Amino acid sequence: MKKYIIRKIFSFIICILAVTLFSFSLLHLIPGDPVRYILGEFATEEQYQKLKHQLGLDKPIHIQFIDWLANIILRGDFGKSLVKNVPVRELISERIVYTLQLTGTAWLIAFALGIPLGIAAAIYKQTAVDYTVMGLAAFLMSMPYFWLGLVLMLIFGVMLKVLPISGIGDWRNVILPSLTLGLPQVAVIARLMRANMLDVLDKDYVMTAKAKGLSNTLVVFKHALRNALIPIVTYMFLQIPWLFGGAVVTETVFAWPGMGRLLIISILQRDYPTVQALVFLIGTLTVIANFAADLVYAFIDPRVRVTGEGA
Amino acid sequence: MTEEKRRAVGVSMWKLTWRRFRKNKLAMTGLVILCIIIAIAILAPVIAPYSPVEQHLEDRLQPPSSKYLFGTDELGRDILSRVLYGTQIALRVGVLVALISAAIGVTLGLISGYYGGIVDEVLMRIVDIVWSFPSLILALAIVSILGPGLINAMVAIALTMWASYARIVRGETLSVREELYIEAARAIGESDIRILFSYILPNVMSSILVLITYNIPSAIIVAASLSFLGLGAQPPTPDWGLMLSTARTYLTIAPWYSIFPGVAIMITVLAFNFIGDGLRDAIQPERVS
Amino acid sequence: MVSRTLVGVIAAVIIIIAIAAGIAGYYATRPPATTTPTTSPSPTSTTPTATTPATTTPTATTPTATTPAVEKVLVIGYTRPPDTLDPQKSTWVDITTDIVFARLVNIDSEGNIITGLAESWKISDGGKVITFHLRKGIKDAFGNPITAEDFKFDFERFIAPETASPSAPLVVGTLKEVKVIDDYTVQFIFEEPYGPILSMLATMPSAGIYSEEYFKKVGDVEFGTKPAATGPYYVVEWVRGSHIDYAVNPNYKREYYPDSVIENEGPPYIKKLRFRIITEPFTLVSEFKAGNVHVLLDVPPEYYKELKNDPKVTMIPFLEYTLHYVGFNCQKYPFNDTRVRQAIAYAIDRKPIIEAALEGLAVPIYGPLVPSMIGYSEKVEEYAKQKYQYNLEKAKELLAEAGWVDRDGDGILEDRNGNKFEFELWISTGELEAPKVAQIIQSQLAKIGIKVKIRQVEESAFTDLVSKGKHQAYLFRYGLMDAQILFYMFHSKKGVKRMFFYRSDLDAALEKMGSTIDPKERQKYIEEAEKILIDGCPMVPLYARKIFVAYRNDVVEGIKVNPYTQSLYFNDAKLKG
Repeated sequence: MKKYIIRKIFSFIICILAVTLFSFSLLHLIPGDPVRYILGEFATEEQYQKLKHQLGLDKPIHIQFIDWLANIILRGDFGKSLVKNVPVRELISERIVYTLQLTGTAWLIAFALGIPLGIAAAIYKQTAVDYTVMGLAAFLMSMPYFWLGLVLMLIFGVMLKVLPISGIGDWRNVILPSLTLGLPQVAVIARLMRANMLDVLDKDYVMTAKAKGLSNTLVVFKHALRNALIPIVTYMFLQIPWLFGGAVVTETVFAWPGMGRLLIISILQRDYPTVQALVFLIGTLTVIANFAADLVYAFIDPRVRVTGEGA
Repeated sequence: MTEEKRRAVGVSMWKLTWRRFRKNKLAMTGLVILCIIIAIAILAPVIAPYSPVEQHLEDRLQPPSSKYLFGTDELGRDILSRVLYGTQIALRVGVLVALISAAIGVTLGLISGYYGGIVDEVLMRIVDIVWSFPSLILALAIVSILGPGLINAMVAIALTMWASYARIVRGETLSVREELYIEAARAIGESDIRILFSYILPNVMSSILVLITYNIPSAIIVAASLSFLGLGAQPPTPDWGLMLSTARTYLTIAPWYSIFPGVAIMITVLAFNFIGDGLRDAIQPERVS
Repeated sequence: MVSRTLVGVIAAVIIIIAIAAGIAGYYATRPPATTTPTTSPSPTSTTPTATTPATTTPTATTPTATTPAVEKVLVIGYTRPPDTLDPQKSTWVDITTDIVFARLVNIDSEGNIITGLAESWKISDGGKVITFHLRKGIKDAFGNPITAEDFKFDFERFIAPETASPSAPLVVGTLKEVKVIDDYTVQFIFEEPYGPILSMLATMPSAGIYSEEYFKKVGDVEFGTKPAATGPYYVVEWVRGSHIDYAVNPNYKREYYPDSVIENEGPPYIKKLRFRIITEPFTLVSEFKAGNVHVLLDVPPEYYKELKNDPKVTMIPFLEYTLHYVGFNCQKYPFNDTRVRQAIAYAIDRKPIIEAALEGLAVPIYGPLVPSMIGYSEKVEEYAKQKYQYNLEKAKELLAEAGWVDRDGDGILEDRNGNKFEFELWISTGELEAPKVAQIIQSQLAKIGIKVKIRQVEESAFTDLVSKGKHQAYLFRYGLMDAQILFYMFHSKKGVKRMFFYRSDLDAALEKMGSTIDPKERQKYIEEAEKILIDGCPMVPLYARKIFVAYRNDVVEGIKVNPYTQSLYFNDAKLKG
């Protein structure tokens, strides 16, 4: 157990470093001279030197990296946007709330719907309930976010006119985007939950419990559920970064002013400081979520606790 | 075990897999759909009623009719023809991306598992990150370096999908590395490269195949997403994602425009997913309840 | 088990298809375009005063907020995410800052220059000195008094090199110094007389006046997000990518813009405005129809018919003073050859572009100026039109002369070295019709053996990248009330960098145009410059759009438009109900 956690902490540190390096090097990976690339061929020498200085590219690369990192850690400073005349931090802090609102709601939807549906499908295995849930899950998993978003928009916003079509506003504006982001996850979780439940229900101890004459319902809830939930809890953490990935598309479809939209706009505008900052933040979040999943897994899964090996 | 013998085992394993696969109706449905999709892609020039870029400016945004079965788009192009030609792009993107990422992942996985030590440690940490990073975000970061375009998008996606291959191949390599026949091969002086590719690789082929089948639809979805975001295919390519991106503008005026390309993506992805599930169950029968 | 799963999947297929069919059926049963079943004669009149009696009393609008609205807000749909709201720093100035800044002088609805913050002015020294006599008692939105010192501060910041204002040379020409004579008199001193100075001062928000004290209090950055000045409204909050909220300036007076069509003597009646940033036209129109957006500044052409027939919608038409054109990078191969550029000009047919991409809501343009610009001449436009009549044979001839021939028979031209005639045409994501126009051009040029690749570039990066010369050719627009735009677009040193078409005779004509105040003489130079541009062909002018402002007449009344400046007057507007 101790060894396992130490290993994970070690791996966590390496991953954070790698993410930092990767986001830092985005600007340097551009083929050719990044300053020329950003400025174009007719730029004057003065403009060239100015931007080079602004990006810190006139210093040796290791100094640049240390500067960049130190600014982030000590001051939360990601540099200044090349396009908009404001610090990147400000751009991001304006938008982060909206992304959290969207991903948070989607996350809740995913588990609030996915777990019961998965349980229902497992309990009523090979009945209409099971087939409907699994059939719909297969479809939801095959729909790209942007199309699901368009279809929901078409049905609820345009045809039925019961929900706002896009943009931010009150709570009703959150419904369609978070459904778009959450429904495919509902499908994944329902499938996972069903498989786990079936797995656990086959296990010896459940069989024993059944033989002891405990009522069926009690078996399901007391023994099976707890064990079947373990992978789901881990999944809850692993899922967070992927929700941010989905948010990029969903925010574009619904004109939602979040970080995902900012990422797309910044890429199209070649606003590298902003792109670097966003990749760094989402990357760090990914690593933290994975680390959290590992820890939770270690604490709740008895097998890890016994053997001390989980990688 | 001699090479001939292993090959024989391999053949019978594929046969056995196919026999199990054939019994799985869902997987077979997927396979049939896929065959139809491939046929459409190959025959698109024959069966499509119009060229995918031919404009009929007087027939803009027409609803489905006998002249245009799926209606027309904002420049009077036949949506049916564009959807049909779109299969070519989707399949090409899906298969190429899956193969490139498999090539990268398998190579790194073999190296990592075979040599172990610090090489393994470093490679596996990279794998950890790439594997857990949302592929769309990573692809976006790479596109931000390469610039927009379909080819660049494909490269970017391939660079996000290799990690799962590396993981599986490394695991398998670790488990067979100490097997007797590998020791034997080493003893008779076979080179590392030869051992990696002709002794170890065949053992992991089936897992790779399952992964490829799963990766093709993901690649199709991510590529369509990039096109939808304006970073993939550029007009007038009949790319499904790009079509949907334009269709969004006309959602109220021409809802059919956003229905058909979406259905096409869904069916294609569904077919691959069914095949993937079937293949996985057929190769690892112990996992089927 | 598997076969039953199949049943489940088939069931799901049926559900999905049923939904799709439902959607299709829903639309199939609706008559196209005209959707409102009202039998009342729907007026096609688009005059601003046409308020149609709505037959069914609309139950307010769809509630924008579920919480009882404390104060009602007029919501304006806006498609272009601004870079900054500091007009002196922005590359783009429009209504979002127009309503925040009052100016020295104005242009009224008849096109005359009238007073503004200045009561009177005098031009002396051949146009090198303009003396403005200011109104007394001007206050900004927060009550800061505005005197001559503020004018000096504002304009000196405008022309300061540190400000690097993209619009300063265009607006104030060679303004050198602003002198304070007394509290209510300022003198503008120019190196050279600047022809369009008064109309520029009257129309450009970047020539707007703000309080030095306020500016210094909030600082440079916050001024760009929350400008407050002398105009009828000031910005309260700007949520990037979502909306900009305005509140009324309680100190606003009609005399700051005394156009005779404005009746209200004090600040506007509507206390709060919100500009909602919605970049997708479909979303914009849907929100307008749902009543969540009350004003559309520019009806997307695809939706024109539908909205025109809606009795709840009032539309006001204009011809925009903006030219949409294909610009070449005249220093890059193959467009460094005039014949090649001219060939493309011959090969582009404007008619299908206007019909298909703009639903007929545009007029074709052949010369560098648009009829609604000061300095436009029908004679010159006719000359250009005759010169570049659509003619594929002529285009092919010119290309062959320049060495472009289809040498390998693949339908694409090659030069003498075997390079294919292939180029990237950049379009901006901010122009809704651009992908359509570009694809039509693409198919038209395919007819003469030129392969066009289209690339979409984000609007706020577009001019930036183009000015860096990264393009081969692009589709974009330019616009200004005055022919001075030509100076701004084409002067080799003082202009912006777009087409890199530099000629000394053009520079000379543009300079004379810029420094001549007498309109008749100035017209001569304008036409001279236009001719050079037509013959040299650094661009292919395409069209000017007929644009429509639309508002929900069940929500708001009394919005007025100045047909000359094309700016909106909210002064007399009132919310209904």
